[in-house]
Order: sequence, then C-alpha cells, then structure tokens
Amino acid sequence: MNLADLIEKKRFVGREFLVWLWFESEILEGRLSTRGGKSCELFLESKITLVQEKEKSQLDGAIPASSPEAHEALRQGKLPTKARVRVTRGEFDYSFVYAADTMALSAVKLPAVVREEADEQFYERMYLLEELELQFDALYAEFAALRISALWDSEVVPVMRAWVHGKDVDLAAYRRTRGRAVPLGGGKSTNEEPRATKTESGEGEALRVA
Amino acid sequence: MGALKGSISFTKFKVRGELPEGFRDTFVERLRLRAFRPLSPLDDADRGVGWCSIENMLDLEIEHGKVFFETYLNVGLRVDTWQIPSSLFKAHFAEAERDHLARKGREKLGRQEKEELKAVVTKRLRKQLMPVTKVIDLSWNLDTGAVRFWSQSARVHELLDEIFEDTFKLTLLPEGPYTTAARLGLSELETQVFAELKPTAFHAAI
Repeated sequence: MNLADLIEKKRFVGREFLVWLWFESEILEGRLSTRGGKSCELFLESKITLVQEKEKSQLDGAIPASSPEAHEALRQGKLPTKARVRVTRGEFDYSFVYAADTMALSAVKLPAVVREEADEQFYERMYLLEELELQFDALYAEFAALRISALWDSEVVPVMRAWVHGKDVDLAAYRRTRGRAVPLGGGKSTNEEPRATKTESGEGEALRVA
Repeated sequence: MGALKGSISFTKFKVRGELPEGFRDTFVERLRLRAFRPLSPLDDADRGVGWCSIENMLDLEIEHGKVFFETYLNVGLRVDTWQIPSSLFKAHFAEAERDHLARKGREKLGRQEKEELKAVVTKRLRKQLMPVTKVIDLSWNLDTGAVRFWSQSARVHELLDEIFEDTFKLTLLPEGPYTTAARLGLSELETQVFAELKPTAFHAAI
C-alpha cells in the first residue's frame, strides 16, 4: 500500500480514536492519563456528529455525548466524525472542534492571550496551540499503542462494547489492560530496529501480527 | 481569522524533505518570484494565486522581516478569482449575440464565434467588477516541520500543494490518523500492523 492509500484508507482510525476518547472520558469521569505525565481533563461538549455511510446524527446540547440519543447512534453503528472537545490541563483550558478523519482542529478557543503586541500575540498563540497539540498527541499515542496491540480485540473492544450497550464496565480491569500496552515504537524511535512483539520483562502485549 | 489573531481553524501538514543551506535567503527569493500579482481584466486566467504578507493582503513586497517570526515562516496565500454572476453574464451575452448577428445579418453563431464572443463579454464585464479576494494564513514551524494552514477546503489544499512545492521545492504531507501515528514513532513492524487495521464494530452484540 503506498503512502497516499495508507493515509486515505486508515482515516477510520481517527473516528475510533474519538470513540475511545468519549469512552475514557465517560468511564474515567473526564480524567485521562498518559504515560508521559501529560494528563488532562477531557469532555465532549455542546456538539457531536455521528455518521454511518449516508446516515448522519447531529446532536447539540450541554453534553450531547452523554445523551441517550448519542449512545443509541453508537448502537446503530454510527461513529463520531466531529465533536467539540474541552481539554483542561493545569491552568490551561481549551475548547475546539475535532474532525476525526483529518484530525484537524477548528474553532479553537485558547486560554486567554495576554500579550498586546501583534508578534508577541502570535508567539503566545502558537505556544498555547502547540501545548494543546502535544497533549492531544500524547492521548493519540496511548490510543494507537492499544489499537495496534493484540489487547485491542481481546480486551479493549469487549469493554467498549459493554459501554456502548449501557452495561457495567470493570474499570480496574480496563486500567490494567491500558497499562499493559507497549508504547509506540516500543520506546524506540521510528528509525531503529523493529521491536520484538513482547518487552523483555514480558509485561508488554504482543502486536496484532496476522 | 488567522495565525496572528481571530478564530483558529486550520489543517496541519508535515513538510517532507530537508531545509536547504541558507534557506532563509533562498525562501525569500522564491517567495518573491511567486508573490501574488493582481489580476488584469484582459488576462485569460480567471484566478490568480500567490504569496502576500501575512499582516496585509495588499502588501506584495516580500521581505525577511515580514516573513520570519523567529522560528516560524508566516505568509498569506492570496487567491483572487473573477466571479461574474451567471444571470448577469447571460443577459450581457444575449445582448452581444443579438448585436453581432444583426451586424453580420445572420441567425446563428458558429461554435468558434460563440467562444470568442464569450471571451469578449467576460473581459468587458471584468472591467466593471472587482475580483473576489481570499487570503489564507500559513504558519510553518521551521524547527518541527509543522505547517498550519488556515483552511479546511480540499480545493484550496490542492492550490497550496502546488504553490508550496513550486516555491520551496519541498512537499506537504497532510496530517491524519496514519501520518500522526508515524510521526509519533511507529516502528517498522507497527507500521505493517497499522496498515492491516480493519474497522472495529463497536456496536456488535456482546
């Protein structure tokens, strides 16, 4: 598969990431953690769009993702393509619309910018934006590590299906599962040798190799 | 709205390729060559695309101080388009067609004649109109290679791809679930696994 195909054909992973954020936000009461210490509060708020082929549900309200309609749309097989997300990290409070297929951010509300000069305002805006992107990257890295591991099908999906169907979720078991996923690159950079499918300690879980 | 102020809505790209030696001078020279040039009603082109200052769309004099903000390269992509309302064009064309046929003593225009008359009417109407102007901010973090482009339109992205490569001799890779995962450090084996991923049926029965 060439690079252009890979980009186009794997866009669905962005929708699955948004489902995962929604799921974690609900079961963890908005407190999401990452390995690199980039933890934050995250909620889906005010607007969410779910799509399955040509069928679309657009829900508005205070927290539409928590509504019975949103969960019903998930049960019908629809996946979120766009949602307004609020992320709070320390003193920084952000709100933005996340487009799952392109991972683009729009209508981003940054924490208050205090600089007055145009160029200083630019640097401050970029600093705040890049901080948000680092946070979002850290969450995506957590998700991607789970998504490509064998744990996804065997342990994560059953828990997420239970959540979709309104059943109880074993939070402690899910936390243990999440902790067993090996970080992307197995702690190595892209250019290094491919990692083994298990960590030396044996704690990490195998990749989904066909 | 844009990089400097206003609402923040953008698409992110990753620059592929290495920055050339002495890139700041080279980039300013190349930006000057591809700076926006105002459309003339007499040109055949119905659209003009080029770079302008990010702070002022009318400022087409590209200089270091206007482009480099410490480690960022900031420019505006200006796109001007002639947009003649179709009802206005049809009315003027019908009038020109009548006059032309009356002068020639004929009843119908030939195909070639019709095209030529369309071009004449178009240029005449353009003299009475202003092109529609759009400026899209572009901010390139030269340290990380991340480009933020203040448009989410696929058509505008095509224009950007072309002029960016033409100007900087580097290509842009759009951010998406795969490219983001790759940027975050997929190993070769993980890349293979990612390429094989199939959609998850979250709604399936438990």
